[in-house]
Amino acid sequence: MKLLVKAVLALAAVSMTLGAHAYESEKAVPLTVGGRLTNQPVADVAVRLDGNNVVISGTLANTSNSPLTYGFFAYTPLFLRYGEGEENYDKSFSDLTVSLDGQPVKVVGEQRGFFLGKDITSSLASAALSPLPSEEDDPKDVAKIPPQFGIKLTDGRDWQGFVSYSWLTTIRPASSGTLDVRYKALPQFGIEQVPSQRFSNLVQQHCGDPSLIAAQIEKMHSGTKAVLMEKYVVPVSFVNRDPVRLSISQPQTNSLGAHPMIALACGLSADAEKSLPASGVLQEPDDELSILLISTLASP
Amino acid sequence: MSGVTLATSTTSDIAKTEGKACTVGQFISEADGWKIVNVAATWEGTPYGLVGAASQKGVLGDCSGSTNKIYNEAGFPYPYQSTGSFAAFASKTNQFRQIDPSKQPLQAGDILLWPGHMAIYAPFPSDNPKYDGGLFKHGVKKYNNMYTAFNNRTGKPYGPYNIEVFRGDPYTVYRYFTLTTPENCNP
Repeated sequence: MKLLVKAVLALAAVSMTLGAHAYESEKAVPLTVGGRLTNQPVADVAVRLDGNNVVISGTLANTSNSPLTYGFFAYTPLFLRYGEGEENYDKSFSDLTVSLDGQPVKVVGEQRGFFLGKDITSSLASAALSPLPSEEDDPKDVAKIPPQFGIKLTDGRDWQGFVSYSWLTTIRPASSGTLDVRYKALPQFGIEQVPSQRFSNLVQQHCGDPSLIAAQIEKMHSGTKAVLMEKYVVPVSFVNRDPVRLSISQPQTNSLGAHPMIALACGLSADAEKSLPASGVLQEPDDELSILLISTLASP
Repeated sequence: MSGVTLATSTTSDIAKTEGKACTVGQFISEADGWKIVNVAATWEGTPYGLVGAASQKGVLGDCSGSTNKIYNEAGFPYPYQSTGSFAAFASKTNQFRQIDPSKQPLQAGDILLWPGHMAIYAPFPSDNPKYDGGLFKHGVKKYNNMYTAFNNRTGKPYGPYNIEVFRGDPYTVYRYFTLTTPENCNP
């Protein structure tokens, strides 16, 4: 288990996506979900995006004559805390829940603080500080942190946070169970002009044709000059290029006050993209699923 | 105030203006900046909504839309720019110029630009009722020094706030630049 934690930390350090920029646009803070190398394969993987709630499901099978234990983990990249104005303010994914056949599974969480890639959790604890950066931290406590790389830290936001979770599930002999992992996603979002380079980039990243999508937007909402584009990144490291069922449903008005109208994901058919809810089976997917939601802005 | 030739100005980025015709004009004054802040005050209480150019005083607004409407209403017009396009717009048109705070102090009405956010600098004097917003951090008072839109998460409306608490990363500062005559600018 110690090795697994080390591996997760190393992965996080490599994928050092430094947090969410704030306000009119923000970066995504994805939560990577994965499992032990020795786990039996997870079958029938499905990803559902309902509003900004993600549900990852899969079948855990045990064909042997003895109980089989699966081990899983979830972790964030290293993230920054900018301040009160952030929409994606809480990046700890403390709402994460796991169930097996509808029964809750115990999840163990861990939080750590890093400064320039170095784990300073124990130094922060000695100063009576939480590992996660926060503008709420008392400057007097921050002043107690020993200098790091010769630098004296002065602000409770001057380091990066990291959160991981782990859980075990045991499947009885000759049986199977359905694993559900649920959390609220922290997507990248921003207002983008239609057409614009940024609009085209995002649409093309999701295997869409910018001119067709622009025409579709015009057809659905004539005169639209700007849209809200949200990019939901859902890394599931046990996909292993197997087909993934993707379902996307959205409320009429989302958490940012916009009105979702089109969803794009590489592998979704063009017909599915045209309206919401959308669903389909993604063939040969990447481990890091990416979904683009395009919404009209709220009307004052 | 007389015109300024920016090729000799210590406050502008020569690399950004070199080779362009938009070189003669002047920064708005501190008094003009307070006009902008005073218009921003009339937006207080406007609920947050991610609506961009459609922002409306007292109805719904976000950071880029409210800033744009406030500037227009104060008599310093520019076409709507999102936070993502503002820096490029400023560089292309010279209608705003970047200020280096280490060389020139900020003044009221300056635009504070972060990735994904913008706000209006408002250095309230201590006897101004807006100065003290009752904001405390660890028993230390934090005083308001900008006007800003907030976000959906908190539900806070447009109003005065403290820069440092709102956001801890560095910002760039832009000041409105009035071209003396349109023919001085042919980008």
